Amino acid sequence: MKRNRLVLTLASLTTGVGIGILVSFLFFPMNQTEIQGPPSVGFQPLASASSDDIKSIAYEERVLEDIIEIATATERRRALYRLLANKSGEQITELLRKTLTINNAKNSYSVQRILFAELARIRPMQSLELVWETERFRWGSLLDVVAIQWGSLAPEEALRAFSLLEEPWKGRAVETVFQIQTTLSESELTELSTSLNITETLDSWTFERQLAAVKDEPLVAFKFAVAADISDSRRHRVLTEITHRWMERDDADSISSMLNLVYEEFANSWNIWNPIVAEIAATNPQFVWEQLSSQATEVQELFNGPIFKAWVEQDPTTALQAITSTEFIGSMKSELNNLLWEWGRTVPLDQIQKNILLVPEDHRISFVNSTARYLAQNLPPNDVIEFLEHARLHGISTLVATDVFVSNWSRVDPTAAVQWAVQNLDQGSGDGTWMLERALDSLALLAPAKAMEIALDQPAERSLEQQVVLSVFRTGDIEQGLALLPQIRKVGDYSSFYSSVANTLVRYGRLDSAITVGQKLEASERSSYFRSVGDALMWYDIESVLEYLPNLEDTEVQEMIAAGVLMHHEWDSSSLTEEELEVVRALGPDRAN
Amino acid sequence: MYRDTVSNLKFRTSSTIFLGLLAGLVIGVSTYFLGDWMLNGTDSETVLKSTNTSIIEDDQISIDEFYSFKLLDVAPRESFEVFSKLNTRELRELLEISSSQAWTSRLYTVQQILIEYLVLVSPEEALAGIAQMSDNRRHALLRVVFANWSQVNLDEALTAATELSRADRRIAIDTVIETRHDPLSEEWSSHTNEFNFVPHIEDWEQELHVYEILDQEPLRAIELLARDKIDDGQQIDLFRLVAEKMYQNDKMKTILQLEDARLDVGVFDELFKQVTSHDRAAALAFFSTVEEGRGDSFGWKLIKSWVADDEEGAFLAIKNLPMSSFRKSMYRSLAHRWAEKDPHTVLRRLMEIPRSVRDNALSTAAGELAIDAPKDLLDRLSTLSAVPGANVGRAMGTVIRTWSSDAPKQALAWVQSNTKKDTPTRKELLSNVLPEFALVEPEQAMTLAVDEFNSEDTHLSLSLQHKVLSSLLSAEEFDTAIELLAQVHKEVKLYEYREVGFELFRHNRLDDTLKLADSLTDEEKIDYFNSVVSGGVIVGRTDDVLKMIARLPTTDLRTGAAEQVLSNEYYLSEFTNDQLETLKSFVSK
Repeated sequence: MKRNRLVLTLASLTTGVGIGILVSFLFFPMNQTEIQGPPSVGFQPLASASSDDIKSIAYEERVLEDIIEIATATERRRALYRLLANKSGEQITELLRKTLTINNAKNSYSVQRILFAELARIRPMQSLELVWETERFRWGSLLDVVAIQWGSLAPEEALRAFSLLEEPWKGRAVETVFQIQTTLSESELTELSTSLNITETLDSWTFERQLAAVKDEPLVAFKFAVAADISDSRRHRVLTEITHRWMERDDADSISSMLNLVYEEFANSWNIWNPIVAEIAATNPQFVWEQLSSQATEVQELFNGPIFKAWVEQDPTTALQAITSTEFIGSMKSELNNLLWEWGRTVPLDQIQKNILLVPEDHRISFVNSTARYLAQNLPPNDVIEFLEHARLHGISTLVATDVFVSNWSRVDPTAAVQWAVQNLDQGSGDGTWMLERALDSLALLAPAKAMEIALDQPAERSLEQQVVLSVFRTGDIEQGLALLPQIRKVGDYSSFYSSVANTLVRYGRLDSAITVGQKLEASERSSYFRSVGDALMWYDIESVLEYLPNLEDTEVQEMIAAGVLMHHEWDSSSLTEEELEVVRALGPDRAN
Repeated sequence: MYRDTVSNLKFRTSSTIFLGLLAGLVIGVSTYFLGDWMLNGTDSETVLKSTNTSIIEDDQISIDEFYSFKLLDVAPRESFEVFSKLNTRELRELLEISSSQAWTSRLYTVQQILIEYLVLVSPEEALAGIAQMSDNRRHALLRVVFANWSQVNLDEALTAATELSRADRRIAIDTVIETRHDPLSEEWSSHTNEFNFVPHIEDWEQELHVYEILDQEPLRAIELLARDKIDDGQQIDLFRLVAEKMYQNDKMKTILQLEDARLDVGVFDELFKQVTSHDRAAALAFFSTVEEGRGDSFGWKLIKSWVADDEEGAFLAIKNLPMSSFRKSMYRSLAHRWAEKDPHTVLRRLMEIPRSVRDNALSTAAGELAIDAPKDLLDRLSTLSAVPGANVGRAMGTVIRTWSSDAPKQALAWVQSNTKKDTPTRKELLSNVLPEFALVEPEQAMTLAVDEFNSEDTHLSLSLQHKVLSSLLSAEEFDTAIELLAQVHKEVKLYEYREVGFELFRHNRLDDTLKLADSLTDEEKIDYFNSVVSGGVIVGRTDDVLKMIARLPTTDLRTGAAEQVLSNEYYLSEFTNDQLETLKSFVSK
């Protein structure tokens, strides 16, 4: 009995020790007391934990909230690591989700980054999926965290997962893996990238790496960027960045030699020198303009555009005064139109109108034309109309400018543009025909019947309805175009119009319609029309001409089309072989011979 | 009794178990805390209390050794032990040394902890510690520095950021904004204007705005991005994101929407590539349904990148299109791009390329191969003359043009000895070689051009004499051109005088323009001066036109030239009112 009690006592004691250690381990993690919280907040999980909290996730979430409140980054991280010890992926996921609901942006973000890093180590796919649950503006940087961890531990697996993302995340994550990974060789990377369709990103990363090695040698770096197989806009950005580094390292006295160097190396490539010169001018354009003035004429003529543009953006008044000075006009008159164009597209409309008389008289029309084009694309129509009226009041001809304006307007609002053009025909060139034609061209895409109605209201000799029909054909709506054809007025020579119709029908594969249209034409028009059909067949369907032509039942039509084929062959003697030529000749106008 | 005995026994047993468990619990908990104290007692010291105590002195381990042996193997959690004992200099040294270690996730984490410690005591040292690192590493750690620094002292962090290079500054400011998420708060306001942070904050606001409307109104988002004042290059990821969303909604129609948004050309090109790469064949089929011109230009862009990756795929996709001008246009584009990329293959497979664009393929391939061995290539081209649609003459012209820019004499010799006089091929090849030869031997070139002249040639601008003179004028060899004018055939004389006269006028050699007319008849003079006047107006030289008219030798010439302008509505629009008055004064009453 005593022995039993001893056994019972020892067993209870052992169990008690075990439970004691387990409870302590579970609820009082080692060193928890050392965490240094901010004085105002304090960190007392022991004191604040009730028995109900213990063992519950809710308790850990409260701990997490307390950790987020810790002001010191090192202590926050330390506390978090302690909390995360032995946590499973699911548990970390729950904690992460909790941070998404805690309204303390100041620290919760830094805690999220650590949680993402930890989760990415054990459950990378889950961490990736969680990125999309965060606020959108944090996706990029949290994706970086995941990519660094995953890419470092299992680059191949990471690349496979990231290659399935959409842009821009795909490129961003894949490139991060390329940067961090150390286990895959270059050849393995190349092979993997090909199979995952991410070679473009690999090329991009390789380019960046190689560029980094030469970026402080501007000329070498420029040439490297120029030769690289990258998009034009990327090249533009790279050239700008290299130049900026160059500018940061060299002093202002070097501007002249920089401009000279750029001219010597890249004068023939606008795409290359333009971003470089623009960046040289970006900070102090007036100074760079002055430096440019001491360069050779050809250097000035080439580079003045981007430098002046930067100057206008900073100080439009002084910039305008500089180019309209007697001295500048005396030496650089030929440059004036381009520079004025730059000025007109940079300053606000009221400034343009206020200063329009500063523009030298013989450059005003050109200035108004180019500015009208820009304004038409960027301001409401009424503002442009006001600008044109203002120019006219100052005695500047606006015929061409009005044409340009209406043409641009009609692409945005063809109905309004046509309406205005019809009411203001006297303001466009050629009694408004040109601008109305452009506007109807656009309206025909939207409302062909209406466009036709307006065209037919105009005098027949303007032939505006022809433009409408051709415009409809251009959209590919052949049936609509054919339906409008009977309304074409027979005024003057309209053979060139029907030649275009023939060409359109053939190139859309509507040969039968082409024949039908031709057969309805007056006899005098038919020969020319069918020759056009033959010519178009040679252009668009040369392989089938020899199958089609001999089988045509209407021999008169066959003969005329054959004439068109032969006419084309005269122009392009290699289009048909001798044998083929014989076949066509036998069907053509000389067949009787 | 039995019941009592059993009850007592139960009670004693329960008591024993309860007391045992209680004692066990006490012992267990005590042992746990004792163990914890023994294992971790030193950790409870205040962090960074021992910054003056070097790990080197304490543990007789050098920092290098620590790095070599420990840092790479140490769990980040354990690094707290080490770093808390280091002084600022040692922390910075460790940070610097870390740049030579392979960059792993563990090292990156340890570096972050190092920086967090450093920022607490001296953020400037943290910044200095990463200054020499490669861009990738520095940028990643720069974010850590500024994320922490801005939490400790926003003023200092922002001030320090303004002193960085532009690329680093952008990362630093973006990090601060992203970390704190409060750039519109009062704390920022004094810095916003002082350090010109407005653009950064505008970027940030714009980004948030785009995210807000992205799901419901991607089109408006793209408009916003296109119209803002922010550099499109900086926003390229945002553009990409919006384009992706647009594609999910509207598939290939997205391309039309992107074009309508009038994006920067470079940005449009990048987005075009992104969207079409989802399904190039579908993109091509869609472009074939877009209005003419617009669809073609999209198609060319697509074929260009497609051929660069997979010409066979592009070829097949075009074959599958219905017959149309679009299809032909795409074939032409494919032939050109493919021949540029792989001219040998194109020559070998010429018969597979549709006849209607075969000449494009051959000509481009010839141009690509012409530099290396032009003579051999010309011989090879001769064997292809029977291939229908190949237009071997055009391809030969391309080769001769390329060859003559390097060796005009040899190229000319080949043409002279391999073609028959008065044949179209000879004329075409000579028109390609003579412009280059004229720059070396102008007189000989003109003699040859005159000798080869055929009075049946009606296209004056295509005459060999014109090719020689044009080449000299382009090279600004004006005096030589004037001398050679004396040799030209009478059929082309007036035409060439007009061309040379206008170029002289354009290059501010008015005296020479006027003098050149001395060799012309009165009737020819009228034509000559009218032509120069027209050209002058077209190129916007109205002032010079008036000067020239004023100097014309006779009243008739002045009147004729002035009336020509006054009768043309377009010409008139180029003149100011004062100039028009002057012009009218030239007209004889």
